[in-house]
Amino acid sequence: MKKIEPLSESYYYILLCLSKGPNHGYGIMQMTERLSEGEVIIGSGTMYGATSNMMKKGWIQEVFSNNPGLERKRLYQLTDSGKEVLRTEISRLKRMLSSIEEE
Amino acid sequence: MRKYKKKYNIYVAWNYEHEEDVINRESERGWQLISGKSFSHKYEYNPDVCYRYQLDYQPNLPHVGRYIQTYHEQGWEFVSKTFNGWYYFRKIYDPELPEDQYHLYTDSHSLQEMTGRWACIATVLSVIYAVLLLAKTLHFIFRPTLATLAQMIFFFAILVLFARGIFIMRDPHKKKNGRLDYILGFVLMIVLIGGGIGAIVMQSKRAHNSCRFDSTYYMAIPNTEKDWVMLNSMDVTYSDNYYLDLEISAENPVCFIIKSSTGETIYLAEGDHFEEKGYKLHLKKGTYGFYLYDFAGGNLNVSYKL
Repeated sequence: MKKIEPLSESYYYILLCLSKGPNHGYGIMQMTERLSEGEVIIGSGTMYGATSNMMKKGWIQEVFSNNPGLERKRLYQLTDSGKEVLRTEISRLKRMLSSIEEE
Repeated sequence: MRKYKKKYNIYVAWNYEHEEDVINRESERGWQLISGKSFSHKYEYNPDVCYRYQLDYQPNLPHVGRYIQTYHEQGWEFVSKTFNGWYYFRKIYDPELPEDQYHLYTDSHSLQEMTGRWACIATVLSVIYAVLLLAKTLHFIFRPTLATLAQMIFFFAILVLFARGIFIMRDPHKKKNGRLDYILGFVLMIVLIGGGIGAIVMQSKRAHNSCRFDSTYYMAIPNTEKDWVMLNSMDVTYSDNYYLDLEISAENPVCFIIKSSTGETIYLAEGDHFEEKGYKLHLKKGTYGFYLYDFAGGNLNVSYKL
């Protein structure tokens, strides 16, 4: 059985942003800030470490942009296992929230 | 006209946040860091901007160019790197933006990964230094000299310093006793530098002497002071223990002596076959002479090392 560990805030937001389509580091940082209403900020060191780790784990992969203006930018894309990790995390979070209302 | 200044400084790795604070304070005063090295910082005067600087430790990056470019795309300007893998970045400071925008590491997990990289390398180095310290200690137990003692102090100080660093860098959130750390680091630095300089100076000024005297037939050397054969002399620049290895094989008994400049005999060996290994001599500062006498003639081989 695969061990399920809660994702850190940064990991969660990176995966969530990528679930909306491939993006580069800076794009993920801005989207995270917007989605979390400025509560979560991902620094460059944290982003670099997180994306390297997630690539090693096979959750995300690098793709190259088709947009001619963005040619040099490396984009990250969710893999199937990355999608699975995010789905698992979301259902875990939902379960935790619904626990509040029970009893 | 551009104005520059250079500051020399030593920061221990686990005080990197203190180093950032110092650089940021300089930036507020108009001095912008343009080159950060392990032992010196170079600043350029430009009072029109204010930067926030951050340090990152990346000792084994697969693609340095890509790493710097990624940071650049996210608003961090690369300043410089040290030989051992510390990178300096900066971003123009805007007081309106939240403070977190000026941190490279925004969660404890990734910060710990960064400091953990340092702790990992430091652990490997510590093991090497521990082995060296052990070797020096064993050497000292069997042959105590001041030069070996200085080397031991040097390795010991490195080890304590690294142990402190590893302890902090393994869990960077624990370190909040900055003042104690500063004092301890400072004291250890002094011991480290003192031990290092002492070891180098003592080792380089330590007298070494060896001589091989071989002869198939040697004339008789009578037992009168003016006919002694002087083999060698040696200058001792500081008082320390020395260890003599001596080997004599001769057809007839011969005397080997070491005399100080005041005429005092500090060592005497006699015989036709004689061997000495690691005989301890405490020599004071001065000149010492090595002589042979009282030999009836014949084959003579003498070799010694000090």
